[in-house]
Amino acid sequence: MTNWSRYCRLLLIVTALATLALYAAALAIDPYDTGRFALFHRTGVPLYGQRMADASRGRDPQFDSAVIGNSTIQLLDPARLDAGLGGHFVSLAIPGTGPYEQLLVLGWFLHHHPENVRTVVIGFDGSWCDHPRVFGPAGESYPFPAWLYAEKPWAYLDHMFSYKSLEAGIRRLAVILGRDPAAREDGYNDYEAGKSYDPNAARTRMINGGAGSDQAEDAAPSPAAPPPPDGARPEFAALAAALRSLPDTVYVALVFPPRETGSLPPPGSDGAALVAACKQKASALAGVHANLRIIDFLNDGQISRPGNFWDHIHYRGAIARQIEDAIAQAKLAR
Amino acid sequence: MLFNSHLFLLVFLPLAVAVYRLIPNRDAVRVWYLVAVSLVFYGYWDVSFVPLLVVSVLGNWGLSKLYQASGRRLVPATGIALNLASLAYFKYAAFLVANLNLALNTSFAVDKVLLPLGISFFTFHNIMYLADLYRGQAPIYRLRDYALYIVFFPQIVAGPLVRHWELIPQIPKDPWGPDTAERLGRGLTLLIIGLVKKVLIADALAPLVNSTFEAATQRAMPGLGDAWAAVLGFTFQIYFDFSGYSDMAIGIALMFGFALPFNFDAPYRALSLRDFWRRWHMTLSRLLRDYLYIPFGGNRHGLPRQILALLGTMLLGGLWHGAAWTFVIWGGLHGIGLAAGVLWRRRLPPMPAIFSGPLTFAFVVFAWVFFRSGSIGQAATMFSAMAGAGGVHGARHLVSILIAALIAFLGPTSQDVALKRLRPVRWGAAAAALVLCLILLKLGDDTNYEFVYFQF
Repeated sequence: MTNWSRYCRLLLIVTALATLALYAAALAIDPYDTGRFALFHRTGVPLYGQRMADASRGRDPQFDSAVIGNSTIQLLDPARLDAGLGGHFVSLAIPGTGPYEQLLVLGWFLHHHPENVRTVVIGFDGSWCDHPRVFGPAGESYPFPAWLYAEKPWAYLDHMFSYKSLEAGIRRLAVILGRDPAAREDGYNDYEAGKSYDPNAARTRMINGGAGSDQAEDAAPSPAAPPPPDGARPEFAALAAALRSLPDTVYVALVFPPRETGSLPPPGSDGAALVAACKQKASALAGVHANLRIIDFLNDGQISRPGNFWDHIHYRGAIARQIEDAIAQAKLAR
Repeated sequence: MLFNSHLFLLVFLPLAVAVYRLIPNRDAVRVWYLVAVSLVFYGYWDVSFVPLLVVSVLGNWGLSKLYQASGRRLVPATGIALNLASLAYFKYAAFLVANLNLALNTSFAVDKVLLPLGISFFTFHNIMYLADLYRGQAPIYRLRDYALYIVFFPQIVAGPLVRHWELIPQIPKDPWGPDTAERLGRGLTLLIIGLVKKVLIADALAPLVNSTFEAATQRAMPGLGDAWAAVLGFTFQIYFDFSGYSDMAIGIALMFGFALPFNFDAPYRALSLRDFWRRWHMTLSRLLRDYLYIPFGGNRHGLPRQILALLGTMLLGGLWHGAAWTFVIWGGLHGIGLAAGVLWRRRLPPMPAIFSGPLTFAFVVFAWVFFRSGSIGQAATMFSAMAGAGGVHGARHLVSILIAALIAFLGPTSQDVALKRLRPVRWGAAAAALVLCLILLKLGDDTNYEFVYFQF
């Protein structure tokens, strides 16, 4: 063998071995704790954002109940829901998501809890009603790692062959070895924590409709194509299919979160018609799953006073407590 | 498909080389195989453009046969006109109509035409051949050889712009001779160097450049530091991106037994603009020289004619880069700069390198602002920002610019490393392998899912 043949062979063999070794390491470390091909069975991930962390939370066997939605439902406290409803709640609320992403997360949670689901709370905000998005990746306001929550592992395998997965793997290794803190298990993320409430600043955020603030994303309509004009909403069919798979013992609460009065659609407007249609469709889901309740806070009244809100769509803690109580009471009032 | 993709590096290329080794080692088989592989490569982007490419090959080759039969120079001349017309339709129709509407205050509409990938390159390959035919300087080739010249996948999308007499005579050469391993080793190493330039350097500079130029189109005027960082960042981004692509193309072609011409030779070390164009996109420069500048009169018909020839050549050269006035201005600026160089050399003593190098670099950087800007207004905003109109804020990403600058100014050229200095030592192979591994992982990265503004 000439020196050049040896050079070529060595180059190819080392490339193949190093690449396969790093890929195998990433799969074995399981950076996002999805449970696929993992060597370590300890759950928990580093301090990732909800998008990357909720695959781990969603399959955590200690939980039997989940909150699904976006930032308009994330202020519900899993511990208080535990107290009011029984069971053990995890918050799988992911800011900036719509029905497509939320149903992927719901599917993931149900897939990993085939026996013991107790309660599912779903936030029905504007993305389900008067700010519809395309139902699919094209409707994502912000990129969503659907591959992390997919049932089939192929997209996951593809995405794991990357430098980022390796970096994430190193971060998770630090958590497994006890060097770095793990992300909060129940997923609760209180956006009021550490902030003082300034009514004037809140007022400005409301007037701006969230524009330019961190809170804009959940109200923003999808940047992609508008929804089908005939009013077909595939997300409702998809939700119905998910509900059909649940035994009647599972309590499902569909929550219409409140909004600040100025951001409610004016009576008689197209938006108001969309909200009404949406509430009707939600109620019709009771025909699919009998143990389903509508918790409707999407009204103009005491609750929509500006003082109850951080911005036009994000309510404050006291309102979250009301919603938690209402979910529990609705269960009793069957 | 892209060279810098898993599909190409892990599937297409290994398979293409392996099958190339297995098929019968006869000219006809090898050439048709490479043509087929190239069409697959090209069609992977958009299969609907493959017929256009095939028609282009058959049509131009047919014209050469017609010329052979008739001996009439009208034939290649018509061919050149047809090629230019197809380029005008696909690349410049919207630009022409928009400017016509502006000039005549009309409102002709033109359907948006999708630009077939690589059309600027394969059309120019055809034109170069027909022009040589017209001058009586080209033979009539076999269809398969001509087809390979036009569609050969390493160079079809972005060059280098190869001449027919550089590529086609290499076809009969046995690719599996005694130097095969060396050729594969050097080709693969050049491919890896090109990937490093593209993936690790150019792509690392892209976010900084894009965000600042984007800001200049929309709201705020960038600060002084950011504006300069973006312009310098782009200066190195385009060099590493394009020269990296050329390195990959040359390396891949070498793995199939073909030597393509070099395209870059440390251009930012140039001591004059003339020197710059002998080092930057060299295969385009010589094309512009041989097929525009010299036919325009070159330097043999007096100074005024030479300056006009330079300006005309560079204006058209600018337009070739894209259908926009910013490219025309960029070309025009280089034309003026080259003309100034001609005048200087005639009248004044040579400028010391310590001045001419930085001056040349500054001129090139200044002109890149037009090249990168989507509109003249955006370029104007960037110039204002570079002058401090957006405030004197600090710059970001200086380290990556500094690293890129050091390599561009001081580093050896890729071809020097891969084709001359490289020795087949074990540690060299291992190092190249680890770099390739890193790049393969980098190519797997996708969107960033973590957002700083998702605070709650």
